[in-house]
Parts: sequence; structure tokens; C-alpha cells
Amino acid sequence: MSKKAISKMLAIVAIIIVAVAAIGGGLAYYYLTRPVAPEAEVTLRAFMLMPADTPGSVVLQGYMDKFENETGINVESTYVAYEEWKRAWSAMIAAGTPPDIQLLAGPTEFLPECAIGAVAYMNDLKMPDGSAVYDGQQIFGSSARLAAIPQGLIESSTFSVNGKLVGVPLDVGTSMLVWNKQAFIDAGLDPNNGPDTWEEVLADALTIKANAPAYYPFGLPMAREWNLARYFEILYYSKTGQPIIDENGKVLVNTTDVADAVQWFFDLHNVHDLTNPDPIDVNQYDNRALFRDGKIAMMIESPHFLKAVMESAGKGNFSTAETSPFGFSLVPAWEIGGRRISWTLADIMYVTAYSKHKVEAAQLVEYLTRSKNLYDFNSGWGTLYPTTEMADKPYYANNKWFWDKIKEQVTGGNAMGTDAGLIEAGFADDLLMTNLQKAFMGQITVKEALDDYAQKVTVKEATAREFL
Amino acid sequence: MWLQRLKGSPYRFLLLSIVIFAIFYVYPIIDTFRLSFYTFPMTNIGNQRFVGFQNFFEVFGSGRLYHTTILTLEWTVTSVVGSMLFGLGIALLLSEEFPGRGLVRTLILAPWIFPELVGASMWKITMNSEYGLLGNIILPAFGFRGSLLSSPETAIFACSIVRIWKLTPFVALMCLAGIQAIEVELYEAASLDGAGSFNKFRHITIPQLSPVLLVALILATVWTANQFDIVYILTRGGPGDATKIAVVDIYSLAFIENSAGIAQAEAVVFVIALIVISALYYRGMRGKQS
Repeated sequence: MSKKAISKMLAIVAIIIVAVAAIGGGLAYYYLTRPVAPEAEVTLRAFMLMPADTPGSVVLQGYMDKFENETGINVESTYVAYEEWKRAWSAMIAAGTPPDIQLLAGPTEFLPECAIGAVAYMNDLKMPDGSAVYDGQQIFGSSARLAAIPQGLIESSTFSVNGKLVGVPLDVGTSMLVWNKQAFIDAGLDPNNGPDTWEEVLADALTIKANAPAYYPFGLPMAREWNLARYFEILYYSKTGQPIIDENGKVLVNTTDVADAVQWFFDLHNVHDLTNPDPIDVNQYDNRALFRDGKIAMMIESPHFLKAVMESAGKGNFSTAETSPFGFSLVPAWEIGGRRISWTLADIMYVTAYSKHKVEAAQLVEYLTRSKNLYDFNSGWGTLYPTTEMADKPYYANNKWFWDKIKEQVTGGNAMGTDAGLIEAGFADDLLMTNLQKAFMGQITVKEALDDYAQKVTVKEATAREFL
Repeated sequence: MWLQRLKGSPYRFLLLSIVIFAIFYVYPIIDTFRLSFYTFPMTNIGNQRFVGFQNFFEVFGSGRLYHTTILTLEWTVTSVVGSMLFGLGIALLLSEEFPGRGLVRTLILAPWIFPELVGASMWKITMNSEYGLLGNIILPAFGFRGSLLSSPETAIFACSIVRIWKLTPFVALMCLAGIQAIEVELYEAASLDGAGSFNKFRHITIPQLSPVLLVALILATVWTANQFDIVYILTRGGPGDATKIAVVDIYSLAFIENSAGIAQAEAVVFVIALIVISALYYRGMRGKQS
């Protein structure tokens, strides 16, 4: 290479180096000297058991942003899909960045957290001015609001350990029997009266199969997800009306009655061929999609979720009871020995025992769950039914008959109880779901499945940590 | 003094790599072995309690190791054999001249390029009995009702189909490179001696390709045995526990059943098994070469 070429090359390299240095220096000067908002003294981590970019998460995030502006407390939110929450939760704790508050799906997920001491008491927390951050009466606001809500709803939605508050509801839902009115009409059944007992469910399903074969008479989701455990929970409670464990810690899931109830349910598919053809491949969301598409005649579902699904697909006029495309009523009872249960399920929010800012965390929990915010989910996903104060919100006022019917029928909570003194491993236990699937496929009997679960499940005493 | 020796040694260039390897590979492996003798929940990793061989007794005594071993063998053997056969077949086809060969060679790589999550999710939809092309149209045409993934008899093999789809391009690529390195004169000489296609394949292609095939076999076996994403996305170890291969079971123990110590013990057993299998393969390769 000639000297001239080398000189030329060196000159180009030098120009590039100077240019990069100038740009880098300029950027550094800008970032070092620009005005920066003072860092928040406290940053809270919120772990939300719901996927990001869903209507609920969008609303929640809006309130978290408002909380930040009003209090100056920074909030970092993590939204996690249900199936991944344990892994994400474990990873956060292992990484030394545990959440300060957490939202979990009801007692099935919340109570095991109590069992491992991951929750903190909220009653004793005080603001700097000495006032209580949270007391039990503030969950639903004033006493006037409290009086408008069935006691069972409150009882099923708040949790205490040793008499002290540990978990409060963000929202409350219910499971009921829902049916496709058109399917009933096509089968020659009364579309305004659903079956009251499981035995009537079977009779109606057989009629639908005979007269309207285009429908799957009963939607059955047996996929290995939370819905499977919830179905078992519903069957169990409607049959026994008892908590899963007695006061001595004995697990009660494996009685002959319960096994017979579960077997009856499985027989809807395995013997009578009255369900969607491949339940193992179907979860609750698939079931809703099948119902939305007019393929399922009856199923157990949350009416307000289903309403949102159908409205978003333009498949429902819910302005009156007559125009509603689906009917709903309480979960059926068993003709012999059963009970017609009024079922509620709340998403529970709590302060974690790992939090180093428990007062601020409790403030955030209180802010997110106070009644004004609690019922303001006007996106179509939200809580069960309004207090008188919220009744004029469009979400409720536009479909008053719908919410009135739910309110009229759902008078109490589930039988789990709210004093988490003795905690079972939880219905959503992986072993229970594995065994139920095996029993459904005929690999083991239902009784063997429940016996195995009862033998292996660990019953622990709940603990909650006092904060320092 | 050793510093001075290192200064003149070519190994000084490896120093950084060795340090990184030690931190990110060797240390985690050693710690996994150590933790297999402790019990602790994943939600409180600092709370470790020494239990000796208790975790290993639990792994061997509970019966789940036998079940996961059988499933892992079914999954690995089916996936590896399938991908080796298809990969070799595709490589042989692509080694011949035909119009559009370049385009086909590129397209063959598509499954390999897809992220595991995307590929497995796509197959899950395809196999769905209500909406999937395979599950709702093709299989019912042959009288098969229901999804392949929801039957305990077929679920693990359905997962293997996805794994074969994913791994075949890699095997094909390796075999193609090997085939193209075979001297053409060998085939010409065989032709002169009157050898047909099958004899050429048997006596020239396979022996010449055997080192490549063995490497592909080892990599395919180890990668498949360690493969978590496909099975977990498709079935989460279900239906029941029909697809709970070793890695899925280890995940379940650690993150769902909160028994991280037992998970570590099972992982140790699994790694030792893989090392033994790889050593046997390697001995076989060396034996053939000698």
C-alpha cells in the first residue's frame, strides 16, 4: 500500500474517532446535565396475576399511575398469566426483588401463600399521622355500602389469620349454570328455565342430544389448568357443603359421596357422550369460545365474563332478560344430599411478608381495592354487583336486570371459610389436577385419585408475619 | 514464576474464556450437585437445610423416576430416530441437482429458525380437535376422533412429531455438508464396478458419513433429552402425567410442588445418565475410527 493510501486511511479513521467522540461527549453532557425528577424514596413492586394488556390490567395500571401521582410512591407492576405465576413469583424472590403486594386468584392460590408465611397482617399498619392504613370496615367503604352487600360476599372475600386481616378482594366473581337459549328452543325446552339439579342437567342434555344434535349439550373443560380445580371445587361443595378439611386438619375430599359426584360428572362424557368431544384439550377460555360460537348448550361459567366475551364478539343483546342470548342460575344441586350453592370467588390482594415498605404497600392495596375504584371497571370485566353508590355506572345501569338477577341469586360465598387457620394445599394443586385427568381417562378410579391426593396433600397451619 | 511462564504460553489467550466458562458453566453445575443434598422451597432459597441423600431416596423410591425415564426414552428415541431418518433423506434429496434446489434448501431451514414457543404454539393449534387443520379435518377423515395431545397413548408421540419437525433441518444440514464432502471418485469407481444406488448408499455414503451422523446423533440426543419448551407448551406434562418427561418433572418439582431440593437431585441423576450415554456414543465413535 502506498504512503498516500495509508495517510488517507488514517485520516478517515481519525475523522471517525473524532466524530464518535463528539457525539458520545455531547450525549454524555446532555444526560449528565439535564434536569431530572427526584427519585422516589419508595418503590413498590406489584405482582398482578393477570395477563398484561387485558381490560382489567389496563384499568388497574391506570389506578397505579394515579396512586403514583397522588402519593409520590413509585410502583413497578408485573403482570403474569395464570399458568406462569409460580415460576415468575419464585424467580422474583430468588433474585432478591420480591413483590410488595400481590394479586392472586381466590382462596385456591391465596391460602397456600398463608401456609408458607408469605403474607403480612394489615390491621396494625399505621400512617405517619397515626391513623390506621386499613381496617376491616374500609374494604367496602362506609357502613351504608357494607349494608348493601350480602354478608356472604364479604365473608368469602376477606381473609384473616388469627383474627387479623391478611387478604382483601379486588373483585368478586361467581360461577353459575349458563345455558344457550337458542339451543333450548331448538331442543323443545323452556329457554327461560334452566335445570335446578344435576339430574335435570342430565335429562335436558339427553333431550338436546336427541333433538338438537348440532350442539354439545354440556361444555366440559378438562385441561390441566385452574378451571379443572374449580370444577372439582364446585362439585365438592355442592355435594358436601363442607370445607375441604375439618377442624382437626383431616382432609375430606375422598369420601365416597364426592367420588360418586365426580364420577357422575365424568360420565357425562365417558358414558353419555354429552360434552364437547375432547375435554382434555379444552380449557375455560376454549369453552367460552365454543359457547360464543353457539356450539355449547350448557356449562358452568362466570356470567359476567361470558357476557363480556359475547359482547366483544357482537353476539349478544343484554339490555333485557328476554333478549339476552343466554340464561343463568345457581349451580345445580344434587337431588339427594346436595345443596344449591351460592358461589363466589374473589381475586385477593395482600401485602407480602417480604415487603420492606409494608405501610406504603398497604396504602396501595387500600387504594386499589377501595369501593370507588373497586367497581369502576367499565370495560366489561369487573366485580360481581354494585353497591347503591355504583349502581348508576354505565357498566351496571345499562344491564340492570343482569346484575339484579345475580344479586338476587348469589346470597352467600363459598364454604371455604375465611379464617385461614388451617390451610389445605389448595384445590389448584398440581397433583389433584393430574389425578383427576387420570381418573377421567380411566387410568385410575376417581376414588383412587382422591385417596392419593388426600394422602399426599399437606395441611399446614397458616402463619402471617408481623412486620418489624 | 508461573506468571512468567504464562506470559510466553499460548494458553494465556484462553484465560478469559476459561474464567467465563468456570463462572457460567462449572460453578452452576457444582452448585446443583451441592444443592441436591439440601431441602429448600423456591420461594425461600436462603432457607436451606442439609438432608444428606434424602432427596435421592425420594427420587428413586417414589416411582416417579421410573415413569419419567420411560417417557424420556420414548420421547428421545422417537424424536431422534425420526429426525435422523428424515434429515438424512432430505440431505440425500438435496444433494441431487433439480430446479429450485437453492430455494428448497433455504425453505427447509424454516422450522429450525422458528422460536420453540412459536412452533409449538402453532402445532398446538393445528392439533386442536375443534379448530385445527390436523385435529379437526385431517385426522377425523381417517376416523381418528379427538386431539393427539389429549390421549395418553398418543400425546408423547404427538410431541415427538413437533420435535422431529424442529430438529430435521439441523440434521439435514449436517448430513448435506457431509455428503458434499464425499469424494465423487468413490461413486464413479463404484459405478464402474457395477454397484447400484443402494450398494453405493450402503458401502460408500453411510461409512463416509458415519462421523457426521454420530455427531448429529449425540447432539440430537442430548438436545432432545434436555428439551423442555415443546412438551411444556403442548401439554404441560399432561394429560394426567402422560408426557411428564424428566425436564418437565424437574420443573414441576421446583416451581409447582416447591420441592427444589428433590428437583436438584433428579436433575443430578438425569445429567449423570446423559453423560454416560454421551460417553458410550463417544467410545463407539472412537472404536469405529480405530
